[in-house]
Amino acid sequence: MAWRRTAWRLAISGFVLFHLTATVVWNIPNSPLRQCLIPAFRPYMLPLGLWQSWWMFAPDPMGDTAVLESEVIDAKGMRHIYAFPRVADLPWWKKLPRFRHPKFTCNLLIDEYANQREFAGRYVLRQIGLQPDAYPVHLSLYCQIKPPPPPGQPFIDPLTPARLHVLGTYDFAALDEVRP
Amino acid sequence: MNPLRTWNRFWFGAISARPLGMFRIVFGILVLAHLAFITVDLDYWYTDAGLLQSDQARLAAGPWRFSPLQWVQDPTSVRCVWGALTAVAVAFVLGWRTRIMSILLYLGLLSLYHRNISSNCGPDQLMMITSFYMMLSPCGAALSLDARRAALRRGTVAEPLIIPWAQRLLQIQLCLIYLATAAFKCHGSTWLGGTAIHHVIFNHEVGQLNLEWLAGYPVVISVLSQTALLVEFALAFLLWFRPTRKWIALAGVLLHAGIVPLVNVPLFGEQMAAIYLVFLAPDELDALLGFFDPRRWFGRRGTELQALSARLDPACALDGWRQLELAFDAADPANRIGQAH
Repeated sequence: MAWRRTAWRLAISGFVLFHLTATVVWNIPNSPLRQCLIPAFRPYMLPLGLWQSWWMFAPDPMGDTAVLESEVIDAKGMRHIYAFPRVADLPWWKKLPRFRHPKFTCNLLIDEYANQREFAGRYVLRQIGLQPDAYPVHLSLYCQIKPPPPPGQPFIDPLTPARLHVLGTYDFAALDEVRP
Repeated sequence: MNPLRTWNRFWFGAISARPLGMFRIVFGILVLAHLAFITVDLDYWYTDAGLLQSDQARLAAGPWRFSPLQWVQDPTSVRCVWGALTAVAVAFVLGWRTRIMSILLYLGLLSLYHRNISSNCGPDQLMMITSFYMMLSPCGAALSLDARRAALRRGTVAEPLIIPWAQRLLQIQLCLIYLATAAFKCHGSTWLGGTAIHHVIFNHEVGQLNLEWLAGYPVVISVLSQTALLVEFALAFLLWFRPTRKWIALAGVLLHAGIVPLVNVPLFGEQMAAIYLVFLAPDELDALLGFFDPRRWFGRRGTELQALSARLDPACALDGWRQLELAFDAADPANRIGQAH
């Protein structure tokens, strides 16, 4: 059954070449070649969960501490602040499984995740639990960003104010928009 | 050197199944740890009681990333999926019906992965990709209940051999990760400039322990940053060669161990270091296991060496059973094995 073995090896070799090409294309820096080839491999890489990017801490690590918050102003002019879960002050064993929260904040800073900013806003309104008569509301989603000190300086000046980075502002006319 | 023969030998030359079997066990335990971690915020990230409701998970995932949990997302159903996946992971670790379990494990992880695009990161990506390779590989051929059952049926305890093409893909994937991340880091100024770790330790949300005091020692910061970059580049290449393998693997383990107090990204370094196992030759695996065997710490060294040499396969083993000395073997016929057929 040598032909069967040869056919099997040819099939596997074809798959290996295709898969490696797709993986390499996904990992090369952005370039016209990558932009040209990515659409061809997207139907393979995305459904199978093989998409990947290893840019964490590259090209430079993010030294800014970003904290996600939201401000809601309801129809009566009342101001509500919602702070998303923070992990910085937790002991390490509680922090360990909660690593997704800062990752979520970092992701929202990327334009690719723009539609999720609005979803995060809707989540805020569900958590605040405003009554139907409090609508329409105006919601602002933002990050409070604290930069690191310059290299060589071992502490952050506590009086340095955090910088506000607005991720998006949204208006919701009624409760139905928040609880679909 | 005949390139076709080299290709065949690299992808299809039979090798010992034990390194992959050992990796299966470690990887399965890491999957269980991952499943334990996600219970803390299961509702928040994976159910409609949390961040994403209704069709939001589908919209966030886009048209190509399907998951049944984008439709069935009430907390009870998601808990049932979590429980079933945990049971599958246990069976996978034990190597019971490994082929089926590896497929179920992959599909289960994929369902969770695509339900929570919002906060997926390195550990999730790596686990997903590794589970894909494990599904394709004969990872239950050794150190498993399946292997035990097969040995009983066969009547011998001979060491199983496998065709390693999926294992090779996993090896290449690991090297690609190190190469990509190291190359990307060279685009910036902080890694080559030796200040990268200074920035990491002041990101309090991403950091693990408070190591701000370290910033007072810029020379140490510089050495750590540049050494990390160097080790990542080296890991992309030197794991392939037996003479450098154990030293660079040790450097890699130290690199990931050093990241643990700096950055809170659990299970990433653990997975990366675990993949080193699939680079090991069987005798290297034995030596590693022996190192962690407390009985050997107090035993006589002579006995240990005797036991190790007795495990080396004879020259009649199939082509490529040694993990990777392909180019060197071809250049040195005296060192080649498997010439008999």
